[in-house]
Amino acid sequence: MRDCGRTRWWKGAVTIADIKSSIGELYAIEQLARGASAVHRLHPMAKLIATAFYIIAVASYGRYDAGGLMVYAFYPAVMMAVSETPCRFLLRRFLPALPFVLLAGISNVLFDTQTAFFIGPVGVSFGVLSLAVILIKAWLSVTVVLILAATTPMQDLACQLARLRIPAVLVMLVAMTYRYMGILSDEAHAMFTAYTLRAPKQKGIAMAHMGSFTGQLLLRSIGRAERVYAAMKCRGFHGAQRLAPARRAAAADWVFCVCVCLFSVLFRVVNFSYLLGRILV
Amino acid sequence: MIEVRNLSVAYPDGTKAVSGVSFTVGDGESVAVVGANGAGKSTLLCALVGILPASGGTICANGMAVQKKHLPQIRAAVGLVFQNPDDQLFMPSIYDDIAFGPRNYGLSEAEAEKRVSEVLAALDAGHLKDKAPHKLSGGEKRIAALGSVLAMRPSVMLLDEPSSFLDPRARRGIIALLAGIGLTKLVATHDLDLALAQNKHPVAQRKGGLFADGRASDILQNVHLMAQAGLELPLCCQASKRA
Repeated sequence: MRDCGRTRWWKGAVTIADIKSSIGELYAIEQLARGASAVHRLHPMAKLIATAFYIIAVASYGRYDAGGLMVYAFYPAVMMAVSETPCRFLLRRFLPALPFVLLAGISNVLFDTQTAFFIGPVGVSFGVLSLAVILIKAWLSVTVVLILAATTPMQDLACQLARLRIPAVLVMLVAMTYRYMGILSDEAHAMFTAYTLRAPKQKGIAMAHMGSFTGQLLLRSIGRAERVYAAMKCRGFHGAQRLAPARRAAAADWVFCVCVCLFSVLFRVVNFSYLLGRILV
Repeated sequence: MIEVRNLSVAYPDGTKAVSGVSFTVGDGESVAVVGANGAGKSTLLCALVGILPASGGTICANGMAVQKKHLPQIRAAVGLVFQNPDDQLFMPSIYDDIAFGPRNYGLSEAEAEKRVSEVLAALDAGHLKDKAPHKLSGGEKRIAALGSVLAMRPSVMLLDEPSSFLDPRARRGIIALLAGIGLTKLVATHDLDLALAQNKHPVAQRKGGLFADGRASDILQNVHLMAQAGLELPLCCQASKRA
């Protein structure tokens, strides 16, 4: 009975196969990023600045201002349609962030119980309203970041981060972690396969073996990292990665960037949702 | 040219991987270091480009002693192709991987691009240029890893088990490719057919020490010597003996 219980518990646990499938999805983003739509063709720096500006504008909203945020859905919707980024892909990628967002907002529901307004006979508290605002902010921010990643190859993003004077070590860390996640998952998958073949009734990895499993994976990763570093040193690496010069941004790229930034500010200053509501009602 | 005299290499835990090895590789020569797993072949190659420090003896590559102050020049002239191409291919695309060395050695982007194009054309691998390393087959990865070193235009190439992880067809392709590279080569391998096809001058290594050095026909077809090195005769020699 105890074994059955443990098996059931592990059925709900994340397995290495799940990790591998997640990493496969990450590389699927890279496939999407090699598209040829108008959004894909925009200069990476213009997209990066526009995305950052948009997120700052969204994040600056007050904790109860759900209505004002609604107009911000316009930008990701247009970008998604033009770049042909599948909606399901964006939804699926947002799901892992959802528990964290809910965790951040759930305390508001418990402690901020004062009624804000009524929908028919049902009162909506300020806590629920602030949870909705957190959810909307997270959804909009994650979506624009995902659209940026799905329309810009990782190497171009890394290149632009370096040009924004982000420390070279951090940029290289991002680029190489991205490159080596696949190899690490292959390593973990191979170990997991070898494990399950000799423990066919076991679902996932038993807690008793988890320490040595992760320890071995860590040692293998360190070994791999040392060999990669040796290969880099053999080809003249001295600590700073030299990147290919990016293509120059065209006027259209900057027009896009300025438009997104201007509209982000405009939407923040003028409550278009309220104005639209007054016109319609 | 590479000249190794009485070389010893020990790991931090005290394990002696190479002990008292001496040999010379002349300009344009192709030499194979053959030995069983754990004989110290990879360690020897790493020591030749200063990745692992020698605990004794001397190494001279292209007229320079392998010491810290000469390492940038030595590594530009002596290219090491690692056993596992995944260790060598770390950039997001094959283009960037091949351009990595030339860029680090201060070449302009136009020059680096020219090098990449030349290397890919020479290896008949132009179709790999924009591909991501994780999307390649084992044989393609091996070719890309070779290209990443050739782009630095080394005068000496060190190849660690170049035929490992490959299916027979890809292995034959690599053997033919290596035969076409007219540089000084030092190939560490236990693939004796590769050693026989590539080299006129193999050296055999056993548990860190070199114990045979001579012509390919003398070394690789000597049953006694091969057994001492923990190896067997090349398949082609076994077949001819059976016949």
